[in-house]
Amino acid sequence: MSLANNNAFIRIRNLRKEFPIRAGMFSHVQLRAVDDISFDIPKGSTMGLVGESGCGKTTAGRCLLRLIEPSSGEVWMGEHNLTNLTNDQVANMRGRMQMVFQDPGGSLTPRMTVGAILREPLDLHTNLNAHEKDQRVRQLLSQVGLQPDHLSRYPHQFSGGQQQRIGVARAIATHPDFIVLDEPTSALDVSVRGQILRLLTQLQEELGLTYLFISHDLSVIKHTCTQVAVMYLGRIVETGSTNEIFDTPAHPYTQALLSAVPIPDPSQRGKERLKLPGEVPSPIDLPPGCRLYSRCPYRRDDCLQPGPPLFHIANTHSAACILVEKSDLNREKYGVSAYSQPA
Amino acid sequence: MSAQGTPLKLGLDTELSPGLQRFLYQLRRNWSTLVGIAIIFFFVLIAIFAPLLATHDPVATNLDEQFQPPSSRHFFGTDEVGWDIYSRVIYATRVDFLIAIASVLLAIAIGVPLGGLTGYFSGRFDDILMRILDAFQAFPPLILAMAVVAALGRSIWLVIAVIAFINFPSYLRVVRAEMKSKKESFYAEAARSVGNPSHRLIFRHLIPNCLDPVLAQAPLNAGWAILVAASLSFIGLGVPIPTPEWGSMINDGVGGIVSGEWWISFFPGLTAMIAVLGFNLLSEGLRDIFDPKRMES
Repeated sequence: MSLANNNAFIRIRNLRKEFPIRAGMFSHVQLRAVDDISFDIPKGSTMGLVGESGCGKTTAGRCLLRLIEPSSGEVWMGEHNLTNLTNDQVANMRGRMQMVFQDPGGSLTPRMTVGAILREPLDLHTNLNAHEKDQRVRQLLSQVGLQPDHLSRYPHQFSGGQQQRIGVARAIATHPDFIVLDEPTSALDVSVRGQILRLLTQLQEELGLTYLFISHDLSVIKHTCTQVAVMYLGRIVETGSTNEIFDTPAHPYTQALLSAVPIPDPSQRGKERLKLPGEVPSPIDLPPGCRLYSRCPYRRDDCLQPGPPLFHIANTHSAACILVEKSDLNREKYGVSAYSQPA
Repeated sequence: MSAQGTPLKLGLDTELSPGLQRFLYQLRRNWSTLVGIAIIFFFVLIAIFAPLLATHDPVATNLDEQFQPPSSRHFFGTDEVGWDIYSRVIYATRVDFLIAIASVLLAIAIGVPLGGLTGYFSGRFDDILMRILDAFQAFPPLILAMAVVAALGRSIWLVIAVIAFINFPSYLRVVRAEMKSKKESFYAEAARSVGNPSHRLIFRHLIPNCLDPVLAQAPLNAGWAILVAASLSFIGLGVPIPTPEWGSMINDGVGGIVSGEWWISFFPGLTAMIAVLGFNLLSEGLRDIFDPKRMES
């Protein structure tokens, strides 16, 4: 079982993040954005973190890199416990862990040229001299498929895909080990999306990078990730290898997510879709027990008990649903063979 | 999107730097900026070459030639002590431009970093600072300037310091307001994730992106500084006589307006007006010149 594996490169243990929300003049309530999540990412592999907007996946990614401070829990990268480091130590570690952002244009400082943007991580984390930095910047540009004469231009002079290439070049500038990809392709055209994904996988192979790939797009997750964790309302409801998640989803929420993917081929349609009625409940003041209770077609009284924990299914596959333990979930009925179409 | 990738060429083979390209582009697009720059440039030339342009010593009295009307010998006439108005207007350009530009630069040097820091860190320090500024700004600025100059004495440097002191809160406020939104931007987060320490984040990534309103305001304030300096001199509190300064020269001629010697006040007043106009026209385009994004629209 993956959680017991202490050899993985990235190890997240019981990570929580709560935001205080002002309720009245003197009272606060806690919004639990990330609630007790744990997972591992082996070196050189890609973990997909998937879920709908507002489920806490982006917050989790930022907590991992300490861009925001987690409320509790541990994040290990190799032998370092990131949650124990001081802010200065984290700043020094930033050369080894990087992030690629969702909004490619917005994440590049408007009044800095591409050259200045790419030189910055080298200034901060390396002892290269000016000439070596220049060499490295040119090398980075060619690695991500841009031209050397782009160096003196400003970010707004590029297309979205090119801007994201610059974002990727900045992220790999200091030879990091770990990169959090926060919806790196969701702001891009479908045609450009494929190029960026190919670039990311190619760089991963060349440089031995470890990725956490945050996305709501299941087709993208399916083609880039080796492992997947599904989040709902701050919790991981199911985790496993990509094949396990996509071929035999165990949690009703995962099944609903997969069955919401549009199917391009009409002859493949016709299978009954699992729909979750109602809306996502407010993350403030959640009931105990399963988060999906109010919307789950299989709910029963036991679901209101605190928990449920992740139940082991097979290999690395586990799901937080008491029905998994009782294994009377009808998986065939909502089988997902139709969703194996590449995007 | 890709069309602006082609750099502007001006019939030269060399590619111009992006800043210069923007400058030339704005000039061609915006005639009021062009006129503003031309006026300011004209005055700067006058200030530099004042000794060559002046026909007389600006502080040499000549009691044989009092109250001369404009003529080929005294282009703008003379006043009651025989000072040549034309030469004094020329030399006064040096004083008034020094006041205008130095006071604005000083106000920016104080207001921008302070506004950036207080906007970024917010909290208690920000609250206290803003309340102090509120108290300052509740005071009528010209009265404040008069009080300070009257208490501490008359000199150019004191006039500059007072004008800068009156102006810096407005720079602080606009930069602080910009900072409060810019520090939440994606590029601020990206810069943090690259490992920028706070001071580098603030001064390299954020403050340069908070300068739009400053650039629009600076020329207006420079023009305004000339008016304040002139006002102070007019009520006898500005640059001490005999240093030529437009405001004090207007003051010298007040009596003459009634008795017919109109030129004593008219020429310095006209010159000051043109200079202020030049600064105001410049303010229109200065922000655009410094903004890399303005080229495409």
